[in-house]
Amino acid sequence: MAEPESETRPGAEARLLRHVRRLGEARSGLRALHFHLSRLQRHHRRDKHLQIVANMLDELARPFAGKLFQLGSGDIVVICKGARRKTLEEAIAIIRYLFGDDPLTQHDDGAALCSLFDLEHDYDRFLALVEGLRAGEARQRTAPPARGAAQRPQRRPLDPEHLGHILGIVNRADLSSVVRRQTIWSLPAGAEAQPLFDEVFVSIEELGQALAPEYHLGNDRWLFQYLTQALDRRVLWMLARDYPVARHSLSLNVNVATLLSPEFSDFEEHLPVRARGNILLELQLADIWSDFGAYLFAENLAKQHGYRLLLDGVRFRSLPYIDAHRLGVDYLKLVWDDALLGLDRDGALEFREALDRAAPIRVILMRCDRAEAVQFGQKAGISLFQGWHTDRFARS
Amino acid sequence: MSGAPGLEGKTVMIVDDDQTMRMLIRRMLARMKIANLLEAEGGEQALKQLQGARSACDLIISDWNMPGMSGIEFYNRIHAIKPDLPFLMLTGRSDAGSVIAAKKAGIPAYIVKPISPEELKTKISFLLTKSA
Repeated sequence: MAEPESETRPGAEARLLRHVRRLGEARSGLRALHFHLSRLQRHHRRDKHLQIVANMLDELARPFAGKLFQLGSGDIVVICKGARRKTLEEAIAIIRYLFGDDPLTQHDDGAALCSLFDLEHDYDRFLALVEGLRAGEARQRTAPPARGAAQRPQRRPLDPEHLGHILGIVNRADLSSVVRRQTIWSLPAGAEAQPLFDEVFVSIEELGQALAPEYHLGNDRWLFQYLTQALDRRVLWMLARDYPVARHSLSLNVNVATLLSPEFSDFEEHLPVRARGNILLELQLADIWSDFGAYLFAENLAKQHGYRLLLDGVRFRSLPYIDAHRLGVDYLKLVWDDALLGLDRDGALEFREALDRAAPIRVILMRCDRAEAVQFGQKAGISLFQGWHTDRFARS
Repeated sequence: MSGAPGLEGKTVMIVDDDQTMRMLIRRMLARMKIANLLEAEGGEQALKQLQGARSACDLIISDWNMPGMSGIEFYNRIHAIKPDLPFLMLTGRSDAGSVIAAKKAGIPAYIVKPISPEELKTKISFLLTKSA
C-alpha cells in the first residue's frame, strides 16, 4: 500500500525528482548542491542545525532563483541558476565553517560535506543520484519504525529532587537564551503571507539540554506540569519587566493555575493596559480538563481583562469531540499529522464537518514543516499556519 | 558527562554579559572536568584579567553581542596579543551574514545558541587539539 500512497503524498525526495526530471533540456547555467548533513555527527544533526543550514542556504541561494529541498534524512539539495562555481564554493565553505569540528568537514576541502553538480554536464549523474534518494526514502518509509529511537541514548526519568534543583536555577536564571518566538502566518491560498502574531515559548528540549541533559523532563506528567508552570511564571516575570515592542500580537503558553497566580497579577500590573488586547493566552486541553471549574473562572477573568484565548495542541482525531465554543476560545491550534493526507472519504468528511463546526473560532494548523501540510490546510479552508515550512515560505 | 581526554587541567575563560549563560557554560565545563575557569562580563574586563592572570589561559569562549566591546572586537584585540589562543564564538546569530562576518574575521570556531553539552565539548576538544 505504501507505494501508491506515495504518489498522493510526495515527500521532498519525490518533489525533487519531479523537479529534476522537468528540467529536461533547459539545464543551461544550472548547478546543484547536495549537502550530506545526514553524515554529520549526531549532535550536529539536531533540528537547530538543520534549520540554520536550511535558512542560510535559502538566503544564499535566493539571488539565483534557488530551489531548496530538505530531505527526510536531513540532507539538503539546492538547485540554482546562474550562480558561479566560486560563489557556490563560498557557500559550501560557510556551512563547512559552522561544522568545522565535525570529522566530515576536516578532509577533502569539504567534498565529503557537499557534492556540487554542474547540470549542463552532470545531469545524468545527478538524476541517478536523485532517483536513488527517492528510492531510499520510499524504502525508509515502509521499513519498521523506531530503529532510530532505539539508538537514542537512555536518559534517566526526572525525579522530584532533581526537578527542585532545576526549578532553583529556573527561578534565578535569565531564560532569554532559551526563549524562542515563532510567527503564526495568515496564508490564504493565492494571497500574500501576513504575520498574525508571534508565539513566545521556552524550548523545553533546549532547556533540558542546558540544565539536565541526562534527564528525560517529560517522563512524569505531573512533574512536567509543575516545571511548565514554573516556566510560565518565569516568562511572565521577564515579559512584565521587558515587554517587547512587538510589530504584532504575542501569544504566551500558560497553565490555568498560572492565570490565577500572583505572578500573573504581577505581570498585569507591569504590563501597559493597551498591550492586553494584543496578547493571546495559549492553553492545553489536558490542563483545562484537569480542573474545569478553575478554567471557567480563569477564562472569565482573562476575557474581562481583554486577553484572547487559544486552545493549543488539538489532534485531528480529537477535533470532532471538542466543543471549542463552550470553552470560549478565540483560536484553536490543530496539530498537523501526515495521516490527514491518507484520510478516506468518510474520514475527510468528518474532518471537514468538525472544522465547519469550529467556526467562527479561527483554526491554526501548527507544525507545518512541509509544503503538503499548508496545501492540505488551504484546501480544507484553513488560512492560518505555523511551522518551519510556513516561516520559510512566508519570509521568501 | 565524563571528562574528555586532554581537557582536565585546562584553563578556560568565559566572556558573556549574561550571568545565566556563564553559569550554564560553567556547569557544562565542570562536567567535562574543566575546573580552572576565568569569567568576565565583557571584553575590556577579560583583557585586564588575561593581562593580570598568573597562569596561562588555554581557550576563550565569548559571546558576540555584549555591551561596549563586541565579541568580534574582543577577538581582534586578543588575536593581536595572543594569535594562537583558541577562541570560540558563542552567539544567537545564525544568519548567513553573521557567519560570513565571523569567518572573515578569522574566528576559529562558531557555536549557535542554544548549545548542547556534547556540541560544546567537541568544539572545545577540536580547538585545543588544533592549537596543540
